[in-house]
Amino acid sequence: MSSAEAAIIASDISKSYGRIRAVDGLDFRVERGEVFALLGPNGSGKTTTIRMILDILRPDSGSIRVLGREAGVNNARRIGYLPEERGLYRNAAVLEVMVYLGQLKGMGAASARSRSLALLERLDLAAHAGSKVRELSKGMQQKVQFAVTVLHEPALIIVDEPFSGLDPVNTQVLETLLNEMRARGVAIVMSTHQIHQVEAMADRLLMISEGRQKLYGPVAQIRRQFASHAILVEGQGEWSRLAGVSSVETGAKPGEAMLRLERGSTPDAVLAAIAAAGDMQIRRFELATPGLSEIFIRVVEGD
Amino acid sequence: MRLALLVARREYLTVLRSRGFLFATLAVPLMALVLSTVVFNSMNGAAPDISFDPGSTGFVDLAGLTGQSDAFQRHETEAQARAAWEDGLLDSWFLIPADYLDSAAITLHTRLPDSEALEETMAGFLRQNLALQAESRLPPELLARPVDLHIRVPGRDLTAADAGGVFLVQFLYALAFFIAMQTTSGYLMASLVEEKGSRVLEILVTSISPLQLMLGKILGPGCVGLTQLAVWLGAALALRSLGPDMPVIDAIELPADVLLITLVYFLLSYFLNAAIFVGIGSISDSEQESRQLAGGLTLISVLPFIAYAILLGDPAGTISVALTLFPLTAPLTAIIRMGMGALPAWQLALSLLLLLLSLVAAVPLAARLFRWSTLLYGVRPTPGRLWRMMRNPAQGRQRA
Repeated sequence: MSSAEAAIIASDISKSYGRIRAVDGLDFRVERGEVFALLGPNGSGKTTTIRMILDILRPDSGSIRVLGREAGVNNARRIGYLPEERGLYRNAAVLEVMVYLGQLKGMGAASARSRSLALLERLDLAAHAGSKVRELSKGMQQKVQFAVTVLHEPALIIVDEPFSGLDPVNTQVLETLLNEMRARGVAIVMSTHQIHQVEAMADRLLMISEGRQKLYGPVAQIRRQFASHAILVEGQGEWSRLAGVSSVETGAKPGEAMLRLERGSTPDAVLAAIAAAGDMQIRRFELATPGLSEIFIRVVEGD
Repeated sequence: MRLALLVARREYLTVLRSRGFLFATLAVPLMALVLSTVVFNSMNGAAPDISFDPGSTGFVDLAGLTGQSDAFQRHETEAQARAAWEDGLLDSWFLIPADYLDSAAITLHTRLPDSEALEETMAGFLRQNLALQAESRLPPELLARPVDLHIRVPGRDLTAADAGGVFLVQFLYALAFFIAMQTTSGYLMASLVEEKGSRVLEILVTSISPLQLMLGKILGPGCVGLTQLAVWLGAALALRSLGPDMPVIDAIELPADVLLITLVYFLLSYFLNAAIFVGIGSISDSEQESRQLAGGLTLISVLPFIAYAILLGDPAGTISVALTLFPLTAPLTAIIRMGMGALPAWQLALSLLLLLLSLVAAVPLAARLFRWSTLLYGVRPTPGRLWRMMRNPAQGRQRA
């Protein structure tokens, strides 16, 4: 095993259920110390892919290496998993559940207990350590479940819809925790429909639809791929006068405009023209790249 | 294995803290006390033994007290009577020894589990013949109590108190097994359905292999069963040593080998049933559905008690042997037949072997069902779907 090896290397993996091909020839890597978003519409094969990474399912073909090893139970102690559909032992005390699940991940009882208490403190749940799980609010239960996921300090974390049901404050708490772990070299696979979270946190993404890979790469690069030949400006000026601008569309906010460029024209040339004009002011100048939500819809509808 | 023990420990402690366990554990000794008193009192009453047929009873009179009998078949020698008994021509035969007038000792060889009615008929027969003797030869106490019975059954010697003890073992075994199974099945079902419903399983199966998880789930309640047995046994011993004077209870002597074999049967069948419960819980959608299935299983396990009359009537017959060898009915059948002295050693050994093999087969099968059940979220696990998955195990992984 090489410590520098990617956290996940999936090579041409496929999985079928009867005649239904849930995953079809996926190839991807997840590096250590990155947040990797797994996107796709419902039924696209995300859960099957996650289950293959976790070795709950085995691919029909292809291979998966996880943390330098073949996928398997030997990796269990180094992986933290937060399933989309959450659940804990409702009639057990919070700390008892955490210590038990921590022990199942190979921790000693004492370290599981002290780490649980530290995490509960961090998540503002220390006062509820002795409460029954069923006595907690949904958001609190979700935070406990997240704490269970990271309790054993895994090298790879797979979180499915980690922020659903959380208020903005708690969302930020979890974001901060995840970012800290990323900074420590932990690989984080995040499956979510909350695209703004992907835009805010993810370094790279894999978008799948009907089991097949649609988009794969750094988030910024993918957005550039979908950029239209246009510039978003905010300021004052008669934009249609500018050389290289074919048309101007009014933006959503006052003073915002979308400048569509003529073929052969470049953003640099337009910026130079604005500077040369003398009577134009800009507060914002950027490529008109679509948001991931728009890209998501375009890719899915393109199918 | 460490993880399996961890799971077992949690399951054990969870059951131990439950109200259901406390109720079952405390209620059984009380129920056993009440019911066994009722049973023994009724046994001491005048109720006739329906299995006793005087025509199938022989006797040998070495004391020369009796003539021909209308009720019993007379044999001239012990060898003749024993041969007829061993050939199945007689259910029982008794020996009036040469020194009968001095000892009143009668040795009864029988396959019947209850000699009460036979003993009374024998006493009547002896009184009738004693009345014909010259009065000077008769010790006065003999007429009052003409039979000091010593019972012999095939392969074992029992006193009258032993025979009662064997019956009590059968009775208590059925009761203990039934209640222990109800406690276990109730807990196992609830536990599995909760873990499936709450998706805790998703987390568990990424931490521990299905086989280890199943072992833990079976071992934990198994230890609960042992704890229950220990509590019940302790209660019984305490009752005998500290409780009020109860001649009925005090007269009972439990043969050590019967107790040992009963314990082995209890453990094997307990774990087998627990494994099957896990399988049932894995494919059940709701606790109610799983309880119904588990109830049927428990009913099969106590079937020998329901078929008690058949076992008494033909303890070596096909049905008796089949129930002895079928793993789910083996424990109770074997214990009943053992009490009747009608269980050959090879059948006992084969029965235990089949039970053990069933257990060995059931655990991985339960683990596989459990494994599949985690893949079937949102899809009702119909028999057809399960059958297809069993035929195509590649759909699930084979991790053990």
